[in-house]
Amino acid sequence: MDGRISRRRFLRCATAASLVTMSIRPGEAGGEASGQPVAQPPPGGKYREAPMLAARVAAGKLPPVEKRLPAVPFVRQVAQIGRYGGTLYDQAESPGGRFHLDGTLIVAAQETDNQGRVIRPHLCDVVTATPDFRAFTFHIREGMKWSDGVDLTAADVLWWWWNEARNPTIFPEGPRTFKVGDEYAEFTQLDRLTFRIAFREPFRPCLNLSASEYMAFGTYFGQPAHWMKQFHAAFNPDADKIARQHGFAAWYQYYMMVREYMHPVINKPHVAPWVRVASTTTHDIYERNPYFFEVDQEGNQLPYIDRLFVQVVEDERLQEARRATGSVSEGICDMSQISIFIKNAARGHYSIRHWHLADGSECMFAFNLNHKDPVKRKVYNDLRFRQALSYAIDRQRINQTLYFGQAKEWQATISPSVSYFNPVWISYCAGYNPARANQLLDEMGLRRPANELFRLDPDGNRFVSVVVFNKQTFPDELLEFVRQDWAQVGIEAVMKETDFRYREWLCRAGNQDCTCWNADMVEEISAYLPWVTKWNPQEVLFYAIDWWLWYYSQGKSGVKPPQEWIDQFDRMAAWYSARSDAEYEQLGRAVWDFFSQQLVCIGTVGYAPQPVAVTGGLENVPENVHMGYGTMWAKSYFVQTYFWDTPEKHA
Amino acid sequence: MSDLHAAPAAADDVSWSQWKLIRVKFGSHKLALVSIWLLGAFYLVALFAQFLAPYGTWQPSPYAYAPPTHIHFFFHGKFVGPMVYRTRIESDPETFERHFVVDASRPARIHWFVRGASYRWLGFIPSSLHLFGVEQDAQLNLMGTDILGRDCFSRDLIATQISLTVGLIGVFITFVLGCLIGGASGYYGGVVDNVVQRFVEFVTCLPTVPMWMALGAAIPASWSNLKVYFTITVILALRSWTGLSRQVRSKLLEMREEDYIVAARVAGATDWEIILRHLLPGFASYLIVNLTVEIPRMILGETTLSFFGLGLRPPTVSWGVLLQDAQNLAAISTYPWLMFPACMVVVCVLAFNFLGDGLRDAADPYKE
Repeated sequence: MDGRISRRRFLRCATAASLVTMSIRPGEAGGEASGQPVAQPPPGGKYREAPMLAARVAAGKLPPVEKRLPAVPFVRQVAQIGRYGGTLYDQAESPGGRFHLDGTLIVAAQETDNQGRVIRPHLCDVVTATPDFRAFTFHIREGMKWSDGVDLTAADVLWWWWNEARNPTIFPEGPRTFKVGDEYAEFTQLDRLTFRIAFREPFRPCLNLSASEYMAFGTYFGQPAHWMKQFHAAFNPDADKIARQHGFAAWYQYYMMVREYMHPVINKPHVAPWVRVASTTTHDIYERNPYFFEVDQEGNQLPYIDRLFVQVVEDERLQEARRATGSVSEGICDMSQISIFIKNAARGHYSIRHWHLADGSECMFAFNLNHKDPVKRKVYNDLRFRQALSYAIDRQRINQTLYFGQAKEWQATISPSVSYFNPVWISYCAGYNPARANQLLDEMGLRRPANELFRLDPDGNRFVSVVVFNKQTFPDELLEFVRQDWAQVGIEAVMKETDFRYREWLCRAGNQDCTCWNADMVEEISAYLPWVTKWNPQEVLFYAIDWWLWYYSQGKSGVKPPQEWIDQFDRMAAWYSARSDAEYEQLGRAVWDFFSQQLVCIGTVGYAPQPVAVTGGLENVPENVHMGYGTMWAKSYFVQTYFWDTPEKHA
Repeated sequence: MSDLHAAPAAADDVSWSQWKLIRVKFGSHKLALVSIWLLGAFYLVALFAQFLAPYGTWQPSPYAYAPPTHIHFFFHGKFVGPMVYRTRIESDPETFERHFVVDASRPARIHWFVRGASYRWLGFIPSSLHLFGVEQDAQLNLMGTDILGRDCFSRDLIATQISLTVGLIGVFITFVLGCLIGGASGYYGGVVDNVVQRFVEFVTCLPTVPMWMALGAAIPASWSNLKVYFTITVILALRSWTGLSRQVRSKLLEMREEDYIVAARVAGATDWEIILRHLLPGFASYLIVNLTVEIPRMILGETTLSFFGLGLRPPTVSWGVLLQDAQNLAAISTYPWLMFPACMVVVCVLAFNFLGDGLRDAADPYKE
């Protein structure tokens, strides 16, 4: 009975779903050769599985593959049909910690491609939105299972929402996602496999959320309730005891430990291609998930490779040395050490692919527009100052020296692949023009006395700006280039490296002069998530924290921003509740026009080359990839389709 | 006449002054002799670093990671004096390799006393004179260049200024405070000794690492790196004189009862005269060892402090900072010239140790 209803629902929803999918991706579909799903299930509905699992089926330890896959598995088009077996090698800093390929463990309701432009159903096969984008309905694939064989249902999502996300003991401040203004979304279970998320205000980015890690099952979203209950005091009176056995003081501390997947916990039911089966101080082992819901176009269950072996290597330099000697199957090559990788390629049995980073700017600088010191505040708020500092940066020199001329000498802005993109944004004040910079600074009254290196502030005092930063993907030399370029036009900057937390404390309190970060999350999908865009004044760069506070407390605290900024905040709010594609594009363009003209983030170079060393014999590795937080690292290039040409050599 | 002249000479032979004894004894310590010349050279280099260096510390060039330039003396078989060939950098975006193509048809003579990057000698005398250099369009990098295309040779020379001096100030403060406070405590004894010793105990109790970390947070971020480092050295010195002062005290307690001190007191010498003239020289050999061990410790300490994020950081140039650039695989395998400051540190620290060795022997010339 259930089945019939959901089939009817399926037919009804499918049209709507395709409409939504179309509407979020104006422009052409992503034209990748590999990884693109096909609508057609394999001929005959016959599925094949890895020999490793076949043995377990034969021994009666596992149901047959047809019983393990959902009724309609997700079919992934692969460039080459792979061979089963073998091991992928990677490394992490700590047991259960992040590794290069870990993005592949993110499995969300929907998925996106490597361009960040397409949203398509993944774990949920039908996703619909009401025309006003207030309510979103998600239908989980029929027969979808956790890696221990238990059904994954809408109840898991509801359990997660009420017992984890909204539990005041676990999250005293409540979740930031699924919240518009002060109002939480309303989660409702419609039937066994369908749930609805309804917002009070229209909230179009929910579709983008569904393809991001914020809706990654088994980590930040729906949890395996049947397994998590044992660690939750409301369901297990002994939860505290279990926590103490693991060295934690209280149940909710240990619960936090097991909730997130990138922690050293084993056998947690999950939906990823591989699940962690061993975690020791020296290595983690991830083995194929027998219930993984993807097949290739010929009906072979993915992934092709049996396991991931993640060596724990604490030292960063040792990690680099291991990458350079081919100890990992796929590893990034540090641009400043690239000569080592080239030299060792033959001996380490790897070849180098020319991939790129997905960051619109390797490093962008944001001056504090709400500075506590009135003199500095006045200077930083002067658009001419920010324009001058942008003109002063010799982007070509940075590009030639650090990136072999392979990066883009563009202003920091969102990706050109975004539908509402305006090409003016990338060239705005991006040309090297120290004369113009000097002229602008002179006009502002920042005088440079004769025989002095640096300019004085309008009151005639020493004018020095401290740029606080913490270690990032960009090389330190980049900051040195910028410091020199600014010194050339008489602006004294001190680049001060601090601890990650300290930087955040300092900036959250609005006590910084300037800080910098890379411009990630710039793709169509990710740039629309309100709390991750680096241009949001209360995120990461914290360039106008008091204005934002004023706006969101409706004038109760903070500092009243100029009218143009109030308009911009209004515009952003309107954009996030856009109801039509036309409105979405028009407001999007207006929002980013303002950010661009205001030049709140001064960019350096973007889309830098990121060579990657790939071990010989590893197939289905894409030729070009944009890697970054915005494309969820390895998530968007589908590591589950990788295979070894001779799996027995890589056991 | 001749007798009169000969007499003092003869007397000289049998009774050498203390200083002569020290000189002779020191002269027989060959390693110490070499060391003192070496250190002299180091400090001369530090004094005239900007003049000796062909480029400025921060003068960038497009020649990133250029290997050391070869110097030629013959052009087409004819002796023309020292010269270099102009080179062109070609970077291959496919293989990420840089090639330095030598253009053998375009030599550039090395000139003496040329005008180049301007600097302020000793911080206030403006100049742009350099001992040697080549034309603008040629490159002379005796020690290659770093990633920003800066001349490593020039940077190595200029780094000696910070590395060889900043630590000395700390050592000096430690030494003066240690001798004076320890001396007073040991010589006077009684209440003075009691008060001083309790104070010393208090200072010794201050934990160093949390103190460094607190300092790191307390020092204003807009201070220049050098100022921060200097402040920390001074504060560390204010904390580290206690060890030396205790040793001085115990030595003085022992020596103040000696007959020659009593004699000096009877002869009417003031207390300070007795401490400075009679007591301290009595264990000078010990103080010298302490000093010579302390200086290289300060030099090495510079790198240690960097570990806490409190040491020097670019744009200041010191051996420690230069070595930070060399802390990677590529420096070892591809750009070995970045490691050169390590040699300078080793040579300098050894020289100080040998010098200390020689001085200790010399300060106690009667000991065999």
